[in-house]
Amino acid sequence: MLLSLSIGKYWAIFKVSWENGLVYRVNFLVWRIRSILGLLLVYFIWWTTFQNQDEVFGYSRASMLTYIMVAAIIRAVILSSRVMDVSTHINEGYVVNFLVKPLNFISFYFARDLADKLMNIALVIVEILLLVLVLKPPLVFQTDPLILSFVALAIILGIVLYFLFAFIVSLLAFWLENTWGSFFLVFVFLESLGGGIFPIDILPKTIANILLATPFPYFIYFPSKIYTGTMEYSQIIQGFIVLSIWLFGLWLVAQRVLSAGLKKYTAFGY
Amino acid sequence: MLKKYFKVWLIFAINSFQTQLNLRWTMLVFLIGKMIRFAMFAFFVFILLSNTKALAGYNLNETLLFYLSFNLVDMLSQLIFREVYRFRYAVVTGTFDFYLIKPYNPLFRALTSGPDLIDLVTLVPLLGAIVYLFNQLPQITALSIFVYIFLIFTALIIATSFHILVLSLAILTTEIDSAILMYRDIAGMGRFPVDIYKEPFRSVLTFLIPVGIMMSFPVKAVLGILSVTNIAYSLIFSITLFYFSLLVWNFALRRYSSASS
Repeated sequence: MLLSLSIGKYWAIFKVSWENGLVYRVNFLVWRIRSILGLLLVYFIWWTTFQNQDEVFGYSRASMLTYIMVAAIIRAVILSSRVMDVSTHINEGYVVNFLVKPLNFISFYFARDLADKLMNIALVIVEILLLVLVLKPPLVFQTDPLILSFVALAIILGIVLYFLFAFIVSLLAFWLENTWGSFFLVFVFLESLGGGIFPIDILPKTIANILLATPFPYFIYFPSKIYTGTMEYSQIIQGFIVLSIWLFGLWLVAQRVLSAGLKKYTAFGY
Repeated sequence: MLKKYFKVWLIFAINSFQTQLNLRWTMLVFLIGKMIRFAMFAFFVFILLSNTKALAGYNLNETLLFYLSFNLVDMLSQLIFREVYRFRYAVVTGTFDFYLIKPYNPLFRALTSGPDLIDLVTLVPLLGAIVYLFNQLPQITALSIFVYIFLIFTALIIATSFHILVLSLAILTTEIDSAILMYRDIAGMGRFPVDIYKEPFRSVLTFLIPVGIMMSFPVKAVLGILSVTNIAYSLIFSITLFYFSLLVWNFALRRYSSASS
C-alpha cells in the first residue's frame, strides 16, 4: 500500500513532466533539429574518412558508422535531462517546497528526467530511421542477445550515472550564485570525451586508459562500443566494474552534498 | 557620426567588461571550458589526420586552418554580437522602449552593446595559430592573404545579417533562444570544409545556407582553389542578405508593441 502510494506520486510527476514537455513543442523540436545537425557533422567526418580506405583505427566503415548512429541514439537517451533545473530551483528558493512536502528530492528530479528521456527516445529513433533511409550507411545490426543485454544494462546505468553527476554539479548552487560555468565545463568534457564525436579507443592507448578510469566514456562510448560487438567480454566486465564504482561513489557524494547543502540553505522572502 | 558611435560603443564595452569581471570565477571557468573544447577538437583533427593523411583531399595543416577559420568567424561574431542573446529579455520586459528613445540607432544597441570579454581573450592565441599555419602553407601569397581577410569580412557581414534576422524574430515572436542556437549549430557545420558533405548536403550548405561561404571560402582562397566567380558570389550574397536583414528589421520594428506597463 505504502509502496504503491509512493510510486503513484512519482508516476504523477512523470506524467506532469511529459505533458509539460508537450506544451513547449517548438523548443523541443528545435532541440531535436540541433541534435540532427550535430549528428550530420560527425557522420560526414567519418563518411569522408572512409572514402579512400576500408579500415581506420581498427574500425571498418560499417562498424564506425554504426557506432556513430548508435552513439547518437544513446546520447539522446542519456543526456536529455532536466536535472540542471535543480540549480535554478535552489537559487530561486523553490527548493523550500521539498522541505514541506512528502517528496524525495532525488526521486522527484529523476522522475522528471525519465519523462524527458522517453520523449527524446521516441523522436530520436524516428530521426535515425529517416537519416538511415536518406544516407543509406552500411550498418552492423547486432543480434547477439547477450551483447544486447549488456548494451541495455550499460544504458540504464549510464542514465543513472549522468543523473547523479549532473545532480551533484547542480547542488553546487547551494554555495555558488551561478553554476552555469560548471555546467559548461561538464558539457565540454562530455562532448569531447563522452565518445559522441569519436570512439575513445582511437586515442593513444595511455590517454584512452586514463579516460576509461573517468566517468565520461560511460555515458556514450561504453554502450555504443559494446553494441558494435568489437569489445571483448573481459573489457565489458572491466567497464561495468568501473561504472559501478563511479555509481556507488557518486551516489554517496550526492547524498552528502545534498545533506550539507540543505543544512547550509537559508530560506528568505515571502 | 562614426566617431560618435565608436565612443558610445566604447562606453558599452567598458560597462560590459566590468559586469563580466564581477563574476570572475564563472568567467574563468567559461574561459577554461572554451579553451579545452577548442584544444580537444583540434587534438581530434590531429589524431584523425595523423592516421588518414587527408580528409576530403586536405592535409593536416589545411584541415586545421578550416577549423581555426571557423573559430575566428564564430568568436568574432560572439565577441561583437553577444548582446543579441539577451535581446529577448529587453523585448518581453519592455526595456526595448528605452532603446528606441535614445539618440542612436536601436539596432546598434541591440547588436553590439554587450561585447564578450572571454572571446576577446581567446582571439589572441587563435590569431597566432592562424598566422603560424599560414607560414606552413607553401602556396601562400600576399594576394591570397588579402582575399582571405576580405572573405572573413564578408563572412562577418553574413553573420551580422543572421543576427539581425534573429533580433527581428525576437520582436515578431518574442522567441529568440532557439533561433540563435540553431544559427550557431548550422554555422558549426563549417568546422570542417564543406567538401566532407555528400551531395546534395554540400550544395545546400554552400549556396543556400551559406556555411560554405562563411567558413570554407576564406581558406579555399588562401589555398588558391577558389574561383573568382565564387569570390564575387560571396560578396553579392553577403550584401544581398545584409540588405534583406535590414528590411526584415524595419518590418519587425514597425510591428513592435511595447510590453511595458
